[in-house]
Amino acid sequence: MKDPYEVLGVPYGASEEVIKKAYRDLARKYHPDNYVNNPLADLAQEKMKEINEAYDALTKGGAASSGSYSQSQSRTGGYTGGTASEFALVRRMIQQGDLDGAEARLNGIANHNAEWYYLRGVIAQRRGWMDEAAQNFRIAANMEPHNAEYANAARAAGGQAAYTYRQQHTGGDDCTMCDVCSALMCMNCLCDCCH
Amino acid sequence: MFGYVIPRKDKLTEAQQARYRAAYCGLCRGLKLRYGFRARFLVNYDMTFLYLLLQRQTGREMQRCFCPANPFCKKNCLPADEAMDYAADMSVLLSYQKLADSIQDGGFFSALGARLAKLLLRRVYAKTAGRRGEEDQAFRSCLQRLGQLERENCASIDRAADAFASLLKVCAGAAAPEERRPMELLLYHVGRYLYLTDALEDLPKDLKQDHYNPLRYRYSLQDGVLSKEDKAQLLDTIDASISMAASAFELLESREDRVILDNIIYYGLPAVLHSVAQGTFRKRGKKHERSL
Repeated sequence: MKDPYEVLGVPYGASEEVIKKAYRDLARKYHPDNYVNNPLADLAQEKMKEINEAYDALTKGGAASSGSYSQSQSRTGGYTGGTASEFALVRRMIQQGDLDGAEARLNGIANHNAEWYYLRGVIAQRRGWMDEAAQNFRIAANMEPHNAEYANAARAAGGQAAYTYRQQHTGGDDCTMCDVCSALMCMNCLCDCCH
Repeated sequence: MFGYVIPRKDKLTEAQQARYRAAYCGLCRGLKLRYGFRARFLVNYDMTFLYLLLQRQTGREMQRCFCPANPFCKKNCLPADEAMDYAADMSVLLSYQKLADSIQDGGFFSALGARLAKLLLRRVYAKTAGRRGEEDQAFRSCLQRLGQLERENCASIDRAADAFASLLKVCAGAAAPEERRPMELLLYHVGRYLYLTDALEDLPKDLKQDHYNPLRYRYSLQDGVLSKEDKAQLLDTIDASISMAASAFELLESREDRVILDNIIYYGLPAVLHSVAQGTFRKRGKKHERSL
């Protein structure tokens, strides 16, 4: 196991307060929500595990587990219709990284429902084709406006960057009404992450 | 090259700015050491970023060295090493391919300069291609793919950008094996960002000269300009690439010059995109170069 102080980036003998803050910052950075549909999700998860273990080790074994972030929960949307198992197969293929195979299988499905467009979006996103991903997610979200998975994806493909750095680079020198709105939107995004 | 991958200087301390300049000057010197004087002209900011990204050694001290652009004043340079050599080689390969590209789609007179430059660099290129055969091959096949898409007037900005992004991704081959995957994703999205930002900046020029530009076919232009919604959508998708690049960057081991890399990714890339979108980039770019 790696040195827990090194993992959390704190000096030896740091106070609990400092450790907690470092842990929180790191956990926020590598949180599974930041790596949804990201091909590196598994690496982020590993990193998260490392951070959790380091934090647990430093706060005297297990006591911290109540505070540490839980691992990613698998988010699979509700399956509907007779092609459900087909879609499940496509999802599995995407997860295994077989994007061409998943695309071919998806193209063979005649039922173009919201999930079909959503999965097409996921494949595009995995390739880094964010424009096509956003287009497909938007169609899926429009077809099923109440599905949280599709709505999140549509939002993320468009403006996920917003809250990671937008507010940082729009410095105080050119603050407009628009920045105020986007700041509010960013805050809203952050609030969404918490529950 | 493009010059879009630069830090935001006002967010760096004096010492950090000096360090960045030393990386740039070091790359220039590295090019000269490897390929002679004329290769110095190929130094660029984008490959300075690649150098900093690939540099994993710590404790590298700056050296004083001669600068032909400013012969009476010695400059600080970071020393040549493996990462520097790689960035220098990639500068040569990319610049040479870019020249070949501008000869292909430029008019007679605009291509004349490129032809001359290509002629002067022929031997430098041959030497580099011999050393980095794999990269050279991969670059050429990616650009061939891009040329094919251009001839078809491809309307998918993703596909067009993919050809160029895949090219930059090849440079991840120089990363340590355990960092290969994050580095590939990082470079892919920096490449996508470069291609699309360039397409946005060149749109008026490409329309005037009737050159291929993916934005012409992806969006319906009104009098040669993107509508407000389309532009917002385009900026969002480029933003998403910056965000992906950042998510991959966070999974790399820390570097000695991490602050500069952080600055480039989190402040530099968005700021450049912002000023390209507003049409104020080149003015600022020149100012940056003068002060460097």
